[in-house]
Amino acid sequence: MRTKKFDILSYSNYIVLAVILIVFAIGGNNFLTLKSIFATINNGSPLIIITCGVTFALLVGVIDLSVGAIGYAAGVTAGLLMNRLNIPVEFAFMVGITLGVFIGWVNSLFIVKFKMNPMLVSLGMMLIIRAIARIFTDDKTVTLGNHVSSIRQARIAALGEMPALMFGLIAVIIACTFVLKYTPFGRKLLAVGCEEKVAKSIGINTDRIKTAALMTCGGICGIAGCFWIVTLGSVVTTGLNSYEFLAIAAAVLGGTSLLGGRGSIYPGSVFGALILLFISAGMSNMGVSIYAIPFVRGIIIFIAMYVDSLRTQSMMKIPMAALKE
Amino acid sequence: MEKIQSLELKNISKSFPGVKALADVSFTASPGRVCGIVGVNGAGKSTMMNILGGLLQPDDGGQIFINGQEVRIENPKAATDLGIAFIQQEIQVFDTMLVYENVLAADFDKWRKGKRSLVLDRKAMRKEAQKYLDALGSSISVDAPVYSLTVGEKQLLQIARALSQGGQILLFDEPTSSLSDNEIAKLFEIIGKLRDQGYIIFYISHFLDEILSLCDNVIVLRDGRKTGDALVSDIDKEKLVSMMLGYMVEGSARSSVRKQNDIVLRAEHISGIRLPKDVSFDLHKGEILGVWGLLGSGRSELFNAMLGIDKMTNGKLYYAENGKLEETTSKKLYKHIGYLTEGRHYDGLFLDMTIGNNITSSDIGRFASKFLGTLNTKKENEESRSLMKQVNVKATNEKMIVSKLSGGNQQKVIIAKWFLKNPDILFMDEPTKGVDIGAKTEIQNLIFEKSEKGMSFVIISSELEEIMSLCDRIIVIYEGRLVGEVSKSDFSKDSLMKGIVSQEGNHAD
Repeated sequence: MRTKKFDILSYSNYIVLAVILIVFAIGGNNFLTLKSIFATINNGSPLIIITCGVTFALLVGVIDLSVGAIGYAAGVTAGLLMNRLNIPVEFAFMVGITLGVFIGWVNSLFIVKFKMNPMLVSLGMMLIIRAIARIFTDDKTVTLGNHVSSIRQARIAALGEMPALMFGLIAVIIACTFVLKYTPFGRKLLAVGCEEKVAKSIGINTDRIKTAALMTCGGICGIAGCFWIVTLGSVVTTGLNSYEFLAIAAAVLGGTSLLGGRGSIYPGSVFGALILLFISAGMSNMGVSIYAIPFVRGIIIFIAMYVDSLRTQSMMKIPMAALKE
Repeated sequence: MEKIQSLELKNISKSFPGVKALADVSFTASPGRVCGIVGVNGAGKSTMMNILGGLLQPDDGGQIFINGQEVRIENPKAATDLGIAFIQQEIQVFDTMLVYENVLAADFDKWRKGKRSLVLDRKAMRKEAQKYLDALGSSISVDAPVYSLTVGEKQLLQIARALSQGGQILLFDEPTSSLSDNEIAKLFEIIGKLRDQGYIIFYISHFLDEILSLCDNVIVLRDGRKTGDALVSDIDKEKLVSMMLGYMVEGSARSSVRKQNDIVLRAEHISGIRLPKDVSFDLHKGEILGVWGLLGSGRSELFNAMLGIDKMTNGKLYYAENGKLEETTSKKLYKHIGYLTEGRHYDGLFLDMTIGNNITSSDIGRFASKFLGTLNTKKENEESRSLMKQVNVKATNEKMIVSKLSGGNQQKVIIAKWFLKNPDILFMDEPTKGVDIGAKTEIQNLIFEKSEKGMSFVIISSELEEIMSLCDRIIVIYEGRLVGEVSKSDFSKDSLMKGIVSQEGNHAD
């Protein structure tokens, strides 16, 4: 068969991230220290995890705009349970994650069963969830104090004071990658996203796979919500705002197709999210105006889209060229 | 699954509203033989294959037996369980996945490491996929991404998948339509191999050469009936064509032979990317010119290349606007012509719009005011009403939604649409396909009427009878080349058939 060529496009993620790190290492002020890298990743863990979640929806061709709100709802629920009812942390988290799975199921009910437009269903869901969550918190910040501070402050000295929470992040990434790459469910997910009609014709229950994908997405976003309240130590009413767009952009930046069927958790989506995170971290480190950060993010997304279209075109060209032989 | 020793179809019929697609078709097939199925467009080949594949249900009274036992094929899943695998014309693979995943895509759950395990046993999957690829004599790597494969290799993947699903009866529907010559040779080799391994193979094709070189026996369908069932060794191409076309009226419905007027369109050396190849012809004013050839001969491609829908790689067009023949481009030519396409459902009509809006869509600017461009809807409605009446669309009024009309009436709406534009030349690809006999006659009469008034027609039809009764002159296309021209006085089934038959076998140039 065709030999493997070094293809610059498929390594674009690593290259972009490396370039960003180098640029900020030179221009910034103590940017490339272990401590600041840990801090960036740790504080960015909600975005990384939501990106993993939305990847599951994108892979079956659903653009889920409610992912940020699902994380928010899970965080608010867990926070209120701890704050008002003094429920143990683990249990509160479980409830939050279960809520995420449930919202994913409700989404799938509309999208898969009633065949409504995914983008608008999840947009409506986002508005509803945020409204309900704000009603429950009276639009006030809920402080969590001692409930989560021990988790937040735990450090592992042997690994250069790495926050213990990062273990959780790594575990989530490994689990998502595993599900996508090594289980029958992951393969069916790709098949459904790639060619739904073909998948149906060879006997895959496409509706069930899509439902499962959206529930998985909801559950992962619920986990992200838990990470969010732990890293912040409180529940703020504007939390995870516009994360759905950042997460979708990060996923696409990492090579996930908006049409479904192509993409990966690691390295794809994880690197996509890391790129966005390090850009803003590096820029604030250099003292760039915070208003300029979204601007640069926007530019990066444009570039990523262009690279993605080049990648798609080069993929499609191969069989064409082979035809002419 | 036990080995399938025989497949028998008994009295299979299938009716659609208004059309009998299959009527009492019976035949048997046995392992180790390739059974070809031929017939012109609409003869019922696909209907029959869809019944075997579980996509359609036969009418009551039809029976299917496998190994002597009656079976019901209620859905595609049931077909798969019975060992019937359908290899469709369009390539059906998952481009973003790997080869071995594609081969085994039908049942991923089977490949867990253990009953309770969540993990896929990729080693075993690769081995299994390799087994099927080896059986097909293919050198594709099981780890290759599918998007990097050629069309031929993707097709092979589909066959491998069919085998992995336990397919013992393989239905090939026009498998060579997108393959290169080399790939076709390779595919035939594989089909031969499968035959020797004892599979039951059905092979549908429009290419008679393929049927004659590949198949052991052949079943001919015409208008839903079986008109031939023979061993390939007992038959030749000419006999096959006559079974496909059957008996037909010879001569034209229009008695008077028209005198030749001025030329309105001259096409010289028209070539497309694959088809057509170097076709030249003249079209006279008020003439009805037929383009005859089997499906896949490049008829529609000729239109598409001339009219700039596909790329025209070579050739010149001349068009007489004011009686003087001048060179023109496809784009300019398109302004003076109408093009009634073959697939009226996807590129001929706005199905969700009203009849009136569909009719006026070809020349909407006519109803707009000069200054602001606002539409004069009253004039628009009047015009559509009069055109509806002219072509006799059966509908309560012009506000009816087109998708609610029958096929024949939809076709008339398209014709009305082009009559509104009133072009000098109307290109028609299968103008009466899927239309009932009454509407067919009406459409033909409309064509005659307009041609009397000076409109010229270029018409493709798969129905010899129709093309002979409609046209003043017929050009014959075979494998993209112009191979003959028959004028009205020489119209006969034989003269047209010879046009395609005599060319087969000597097209090596």
